[in-house]
Amino acid sequence: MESNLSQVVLAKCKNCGRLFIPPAYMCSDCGSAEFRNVISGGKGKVLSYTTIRVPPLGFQDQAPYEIGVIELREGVNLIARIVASEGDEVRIGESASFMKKDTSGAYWFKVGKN
Amino acid sequence: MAPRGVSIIGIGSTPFGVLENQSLKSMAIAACCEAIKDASIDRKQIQAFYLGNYISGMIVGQETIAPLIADSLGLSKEISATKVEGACCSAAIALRQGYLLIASGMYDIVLVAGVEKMTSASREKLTASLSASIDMETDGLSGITFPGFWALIARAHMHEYGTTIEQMGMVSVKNHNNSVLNPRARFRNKVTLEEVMNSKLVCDPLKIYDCCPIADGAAAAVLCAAEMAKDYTSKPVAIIGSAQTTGYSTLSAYRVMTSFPSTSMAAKQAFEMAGLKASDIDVVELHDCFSPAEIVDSEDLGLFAKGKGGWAVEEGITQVGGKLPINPSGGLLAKGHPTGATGLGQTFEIVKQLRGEHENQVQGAEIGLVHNAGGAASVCTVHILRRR
Repeated sequence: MESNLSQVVLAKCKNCGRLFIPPAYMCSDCGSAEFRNVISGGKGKVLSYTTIRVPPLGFQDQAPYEIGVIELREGVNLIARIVASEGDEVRIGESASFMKKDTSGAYWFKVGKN
Repeated sequence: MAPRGVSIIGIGSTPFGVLENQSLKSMAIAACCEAIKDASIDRKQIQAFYLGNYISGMIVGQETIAPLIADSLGLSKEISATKVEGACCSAAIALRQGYLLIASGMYDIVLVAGVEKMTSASREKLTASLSASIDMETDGLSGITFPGFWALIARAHMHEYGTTIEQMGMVSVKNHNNSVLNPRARFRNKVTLEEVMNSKLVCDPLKIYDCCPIADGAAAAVLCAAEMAKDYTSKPVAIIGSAQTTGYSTLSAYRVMTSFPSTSMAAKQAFEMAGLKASDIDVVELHDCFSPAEIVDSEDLGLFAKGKGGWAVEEGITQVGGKLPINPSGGLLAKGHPTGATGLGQTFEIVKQLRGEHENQVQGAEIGLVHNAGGAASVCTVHILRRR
């Protein structure tokens, strides 16, 4: 597990530069197995979102909760827990910024201008 | 060298639903025996057995089920019995394995089946098992579920193409209306659009009627070299296209959230193999695990232009009696989804259509398409069948 919980750490293929959400074992484009860590700026936008009302095991005490697909400015997507900024509504295309990564490995993003 | 022709000469299926006192083994045996009887073969003629199953290990605590069921069926001990798994696509993968073995000339007669026992499991166990095809190193950490996946796709499709939640509801209404006539369906009641729209939210914007119900069930087919098929049946159905593709293993890998390349590639391959185009298809059974899936898949299969799937439903094109009927069986949404059996359940329905024997018959159907998918569309099959 990534020990860095305060940043979005991406894996960048040393050969072709493609970015992956870790863990990455091998670049599915060029076949290289060498990566270096790149720190994402943590900014992006919402591609889609939903509210999970029937949770899987391990999440029962958290439901209902919001999930979104975030497209990072670096050009890679990730699935994250999302929280709307006060006074803002979650919408497709809305800006999103990284809040934290929790100890179970989930990314959290704040959505909206604030 | 062109592959040897392959025909389906026998089919069998249990009803899909809550089958109390029925086990994995009893259901699989019932479906296989019906298929063997329908094919008018002796079971000792079977040269290989492929079984699709997704989650028997996690739900029933039973593994190694292909040899176990082959033994119970009294198949020859000199043949292979193999389980295949590709989440909700498992049974159609079994079908394709049988197809490949006969097409290659290796064997003449192969039995394929799919089975799942779900309704006896606790909700926690079910949710955990069904989520097991989500990549647990990445996507799964967020608490996403399969209804969640499809809710994300639904919203993106609505945003991109103006598809409405009512159009998705109409998929459910149509498929429930279709299932009324199907004795194998779990739900056989009509529902109104109002009932769908007012049903309980599961995963915004998807409501309970936008989600398929789980089910117990098994389905099977006997495949035979085309040149021998008429020795056994007067109504063989030829497999004229068969394709299986691989998609991304995580939703985050999809750059576009309104289309699944695994489906469009499988359709392209199957159509090329059959020498046909989408407009040649008379009837379709496709993987409507959630109501937006029918819309997205119908576009990815090339049946409608991208973004037009919702309007095809609204205009009645996909109704029985419409220009291109989709899921006359009731589909996964109403017939039910015993995950590891579904692909062959869909095949059973299309074979009955092409034989002219279906309870909800599409008049004059000669060519049918079966689309089955698993995981985050990480595995997809398309089969094209033709009445001979």
